[in-house]
Amino acid sequence: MAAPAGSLVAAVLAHSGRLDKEDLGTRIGRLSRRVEELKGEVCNMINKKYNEFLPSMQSAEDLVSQVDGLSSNIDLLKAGIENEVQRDLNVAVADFTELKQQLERDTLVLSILKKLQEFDTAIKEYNTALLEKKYVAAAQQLEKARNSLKMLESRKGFELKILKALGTELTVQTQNMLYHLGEEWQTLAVWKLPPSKESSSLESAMHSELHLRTVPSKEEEIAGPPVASVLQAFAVLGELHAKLKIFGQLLLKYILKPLISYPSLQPFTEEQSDVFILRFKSTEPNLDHSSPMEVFDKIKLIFEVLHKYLLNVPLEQPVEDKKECRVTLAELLGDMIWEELSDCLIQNCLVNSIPTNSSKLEQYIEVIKSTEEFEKALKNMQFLKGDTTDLLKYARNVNSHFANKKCQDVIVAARNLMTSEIHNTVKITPDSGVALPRLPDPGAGDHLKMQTTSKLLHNDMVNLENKTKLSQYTFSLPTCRISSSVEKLMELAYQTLLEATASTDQCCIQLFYCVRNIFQLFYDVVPTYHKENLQKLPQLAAIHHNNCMYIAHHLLTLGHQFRYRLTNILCDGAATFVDLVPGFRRLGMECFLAQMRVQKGEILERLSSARNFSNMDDEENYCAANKAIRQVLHQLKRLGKVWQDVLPVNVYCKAMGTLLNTALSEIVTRIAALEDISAEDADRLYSLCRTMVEEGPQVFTPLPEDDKNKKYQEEVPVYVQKWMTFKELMIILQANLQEIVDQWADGKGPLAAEFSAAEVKSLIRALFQNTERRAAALAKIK
Amino acid sequence: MDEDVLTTLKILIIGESGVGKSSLLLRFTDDTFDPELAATIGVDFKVKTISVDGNKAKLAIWDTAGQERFRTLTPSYYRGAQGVILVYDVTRRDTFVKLDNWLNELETYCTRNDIVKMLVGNKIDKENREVDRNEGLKFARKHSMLFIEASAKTCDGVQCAFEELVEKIIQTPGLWESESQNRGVKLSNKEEGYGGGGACGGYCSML
Repeated sequence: MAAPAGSLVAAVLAHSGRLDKEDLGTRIGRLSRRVEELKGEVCNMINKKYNEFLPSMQSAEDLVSQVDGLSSNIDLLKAGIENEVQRDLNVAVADFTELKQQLERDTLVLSILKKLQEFDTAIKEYNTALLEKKYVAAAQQLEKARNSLKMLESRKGFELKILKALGTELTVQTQNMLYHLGEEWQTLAVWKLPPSKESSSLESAMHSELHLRTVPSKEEEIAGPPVASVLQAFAVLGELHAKLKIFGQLLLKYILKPLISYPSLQPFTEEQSDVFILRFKSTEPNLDHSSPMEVFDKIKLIFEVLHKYLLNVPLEQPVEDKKECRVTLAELLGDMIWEELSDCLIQNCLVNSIPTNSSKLEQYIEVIKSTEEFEKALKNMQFLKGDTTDLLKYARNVNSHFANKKCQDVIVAARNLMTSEIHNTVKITPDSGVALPRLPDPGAGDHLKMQTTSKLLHNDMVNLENKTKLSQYTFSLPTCRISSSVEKLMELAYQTLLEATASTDQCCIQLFYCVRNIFQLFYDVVPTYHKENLQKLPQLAAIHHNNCMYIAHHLLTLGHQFRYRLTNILCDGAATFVDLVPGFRRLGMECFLAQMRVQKGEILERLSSARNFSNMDDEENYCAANKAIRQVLHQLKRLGKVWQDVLPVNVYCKAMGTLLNTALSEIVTRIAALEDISAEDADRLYSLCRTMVEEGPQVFTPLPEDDKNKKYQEEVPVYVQKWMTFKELMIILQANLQEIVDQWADGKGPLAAEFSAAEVKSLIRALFQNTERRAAALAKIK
Repeated sequence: MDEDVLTTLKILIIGESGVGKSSLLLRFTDDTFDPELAATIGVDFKVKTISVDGNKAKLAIWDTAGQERFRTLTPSYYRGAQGVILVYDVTRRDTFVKLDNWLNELETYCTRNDIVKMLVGNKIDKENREVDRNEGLKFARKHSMLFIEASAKTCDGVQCAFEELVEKIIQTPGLWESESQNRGVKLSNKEEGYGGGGACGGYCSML
C-alpha cells in the first residue's frame, strides 16, 4: 500500500502528460471537421446573397419609382377637379342667400301688415265699444292697439310714415277715451266743495258734499255697473292711480280731516233714487276734543259708504286680467291716504285722548280696544294691509305717552311756579303739613313717624334725660313765610309722586325722576331768574332762604314717605331726595349770607362817616357821628320791619343781632382807640351810646304783634355778642376812677371780662388827667 | 382807697328764676328791698367790701339771670369764681328740685374744683313753705355745701350767708392767696363764643 501511496503524484504527473497528448489529437480532428462545416456554410451564404437577394432588390426599387410617378399624376388630377367644383359652389351659395333674404323681407312685410291690420281692427273695435260705452272693452282695445303700435315701432329700419300718423291717432283716441271716462267719473263722484280754498273753518267744512251715483241709467244697464267699468278702464289705461290720488286728497281734506278736527261735525248720508249723498251736519259742540271712539265711528262710516258704493264694485265682476286691480282698489286708496290719515288721527285725536291723570289710565283700555276694532274694520274692507298697526301701536303705548305728557306738564307747571313772584307769601306753621295730600298708608302720618323715630333715638341714646318727651314740633320747620308758588311747587311734587304710586313701573320711574328734575330745575332756575331782586331786596332774600329751607325740609322725608309705594326698582333706596338737601340748604344760606354781607357793608360805611368819634366837642363832628348812628338805627329798623313775620324768629334774632353787633363792635373799637376824651366828649359819646342801647333793641320785632316782641328785645344781650362790652364801655365813659377800679375788681369784675387791661388803661389815660390818683388806679388794672 | 383789703373774691349767685337772687344781693350791698324787682337780664354786678375775722375782703358779686333764655350767656361768668351762692325758694319745691341741674352746670363751667358753695333757702318770711329746713340741710350736706335759710325781705340770714361763705373761702388754703396774680390761662373772652349763639342756620359763624 505504501508504494501506491507514494507514487500517486508521480502517477498523476505521468498520467497527465500522457493524457494531453492523446487529447490534442482528438481535438484537432474535431476542429478540422468543424472548419469543413463552416466552409460549406459560408459558401452557401454567399451563394444565396448574390444569386437570390440582389436581383429581387433590383425589381423592388423599380416598382417604387413607378408608384411615385402614379401618385403625382393623381395629385394633378385632384387639383384639377377641385378647382372646377369650387367655382360652381360659390355661385350656388350666393344664389340661395339672395333667395332667403327675399323670403325674410316678404315675411316681415307680411307681419307688419298683419300688425297694422290688428291695430286697425283694435281701433275699430274700440270705437264701437266706446260708442256702446263698453269702457273696459274699449280700453282693452286701445291697449291692444298700443301694443301693436309699440311692436311696429320696435322694428328698426322701417321708418314708415304711417307709424307717426298711427301714433297720433292712438294718442288722440286715448285722450278721447280718458275724456269720456273723466266725464263719467265726474258724474259718478261729484264733489261739492266750499267756495274759498284757504279757509278750513267749521263752516266751510259744512259745505262739503260728496255725491256718489248708485244706480246706472237705464240705457247703460247692459254695460254693467258704470263705476266698475269706468274704474277698470282707468286702471287699464294706467290712469287709475292719478284719479284715485286726487280723490283721496279731496277725501282727506274735505271729509276725513274735518271730521277728526271738529268734534261737532257729524257725517250724514242721504240716499236718493240714483245718488248717494254724503254731507255733514253740525251738532252742539260740547267738547274741545272728541273721543277717539266717536272719531273712529265717523271715519268708519265714511269708509263703509265708499266701500259699498265705490270701491267694492269691481269685486263683484271678476275679470281675469284685472285681478290685480280687483284686490287693490280699496288698498290702493288706503295706501295713498293712510299715512296722512293715521298721522292726523294721532295728532288731533289720540294725543288729546291720552289721560292727564293716572286714574283715567285704566279706562283707556277702551280706546285701545276701539282702535283695534277700527283698524280691523278697515282691514276687512281692504283699505289696510294686514300688517298695518300704526294707530294701535300708538294707543297701546299709552303708558309711555301718558308719562311723557304728564312729565312735560309737570315740568312746565313747575317752571311757571319758579318764575312767578317770590313776594306772594303764605305763612308756614308747624301744623301746616295738613295742606299736603294725605297718603293712603294706614296710620303712618308724617309727624307720627318722626315722633316714633325720635322716641327711639331718645330711648337708645339719651337715657340721661329721664323720660321727657320731645315736643311734637321738635323736627318741624319753624313758623315763617314762604312764597306761595313754592308751596304749590311742593304740592305739585307730592301730587306727582302720588300719581307715580298708582302708575305702571315704567311710568312710575319716569314720574319719580320728573319730580327730581323739578328740584334740580329750581336749583338752577330760581337763583338765576330772580338774581337781581335777590341781591337788591333783603325781604326777597329772606323769603328765598325760607323757600330753600322749606324745600330741604320736605326733601328729607319725601323719599321715605313714598318708599314702599313706588315700584320695586325704586324701592332699593334709589327713591331718595336726601342727596338734594345739602344743596338746597346751601342755596338758601348763601343767598341770605350775601344779603347779610351787603347790609353789614352798609352799616360799616355809614359808621365810617362818624369821623372816628373823635373830638365830639366839635359841633360838626358830633352832628356827623349822631347822623351816622341815626342812619344805622334806621337801616336796622327797616330790616327789622321787612324781615318781620318772614324769617323764623330765631333766625330773625340771630340775623338782627349779628348786624347790631357789627355796629356796636365798630363803635367800641373806634372809641377804645381814642387817645384823648374830654369830659364833654365823654358825655356826648355816652349819649350816642345810649341812643344805640335804647333804640337798638327796639329794632328786634320778629312778630307782627308788637306786645309779643318785648321778650326778644330783652334777649338782645343773648344775640348781640358785644352787648356787655358796649355796656361796660358806657360805664367807663361816665364813671370815676374808683368806679372803674371796682368794675375791674382785680380782674374779677365784668370790665375785666370784656376788655383787656391794656384797653382799660388806654381808656383811663384818655379820659383822666395824669394825677396820682390816676396812677394808683392804673396800677390796679393788671 | 382800699389798701387794707386782703383780697378780691369773685362770688356768683345762681338759682332758678324768681327765687330772689337779686333781692339777696341788693339787701346785702344796698340794704334795700323791692318786692316788685324786675327780672335780671343777662347779669348784674356789685362790689362790696366785707370784714371777716378782722380780714377785709372785697367781693365782686355776679348776679346771674335765672331765666332759661339767658342761660347761653352764663357760662363765661363762672370763670374764676371762688364762691357760689346757690339759691332756692322754700315756698317753691320746683326750685329746690332743680338744684341738681345747677350743681351740674356749676361743675361743668367752674374753672376750679375747690370752689366754696353756699346753699341759701330764701323767702322764709313767707308762710306757704314747701321745702323743710332739714331737707335743705340734708341736700347741702350731701353735696358738701354750706347751708342757711334767709329772707331778703326781713334781712334774716343775708349778711350771715355772705360772711360764712367768705370765711370759708379764706379758710380754704390755696383758694385765694396766690390770687393776686392771674393764675392759669386767661382765656380771652373775645375770640371764644363768637357766633356761638347757636348752631342752627349755620350762618352766624361767617359774620
